Amino acid sequence: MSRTLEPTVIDVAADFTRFPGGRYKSDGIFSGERFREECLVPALDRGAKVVIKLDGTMGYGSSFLEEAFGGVVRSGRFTPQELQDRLVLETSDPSLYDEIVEYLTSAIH
Amino acid sequence: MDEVFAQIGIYEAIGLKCDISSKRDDVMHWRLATGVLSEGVKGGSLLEQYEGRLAEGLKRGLYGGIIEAMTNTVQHAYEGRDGEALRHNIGKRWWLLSQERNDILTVAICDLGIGISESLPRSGTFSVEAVTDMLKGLGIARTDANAIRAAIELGRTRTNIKGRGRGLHDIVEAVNLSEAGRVMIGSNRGMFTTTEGKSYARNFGDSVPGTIIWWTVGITDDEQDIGTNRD
Repeated sequence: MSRTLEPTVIDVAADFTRFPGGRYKSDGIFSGERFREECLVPALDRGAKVVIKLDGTMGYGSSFLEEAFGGVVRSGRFTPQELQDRLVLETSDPSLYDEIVEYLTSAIH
Repeated sequence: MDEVFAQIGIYEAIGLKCDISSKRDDVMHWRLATGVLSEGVKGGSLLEQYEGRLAEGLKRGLYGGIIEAMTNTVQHAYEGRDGEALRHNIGKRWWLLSQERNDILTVAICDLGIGISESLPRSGTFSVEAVTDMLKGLGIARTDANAIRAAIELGRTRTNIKGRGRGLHDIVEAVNLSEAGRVMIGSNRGMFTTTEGKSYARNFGDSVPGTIIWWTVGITDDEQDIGTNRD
């Protein structure tokens, strides 16, 4: 009998930083590139759903978000369908949810 | 001037001892932070002082605006040979100033770089053609003020170019959640201001030089009043 894997939960504020910012690692220590490489991709590699808790930070810049989420699409390691099926975004801010979905969608094209 | 330099730490930064402490109301409230990277903790800790007095959405918007301004500085403001010359051996530096006075929070971030009109076409974010087309579409000449307008408009409409270039648009959007929010962007000889849904752009004879972004938003001592900020 196959067992469903437990989702991996990333709480950005607790597991990464309350102060995200910058696109590339050369921009700053809590950049979108670093979040993608050290948190998002390893979580996706585990194979289960990935729940990303976005509340609790001071906010997000568009460069951080685009590089983290658009960048994972551009990496080609996961299909758009796979990301759609496995990424679960949790936020109290609907505009933040929409913005990330926009980056995921735009990066496909 | 001594009081201003002492208050924002200029004298301390250059190793001069100064015992002046300002009592002037238009000086004593200013705070300064500076850096050469996108350092969210410096902008975030500034905003944390107003926890409970700034609507959550406004705080997030301001944080996003500050961190994007830092990122723009690090990525674009000091590019090219002319940009390198402007680094003055202190890196791709930004300065962040803040003041709370009379229930108004003012946050300003500036650099001494090449300015938006120079960085926009060479950033690789938008092609020269896209910038030119945008200016033509707006029916305006290529001035510093109109370069700011074009950068904001391109950021609003062209987010599909690897998702880049949205930063300046975010910077302007940051204050939209505040009833009396205002943002001013000065870059070289141009200035763009937006408040209460209206925008103005104009050019001056003298250059800033570099770029300064200046937000003003209302804050309150009464947590019940936070709801009046459109969160």
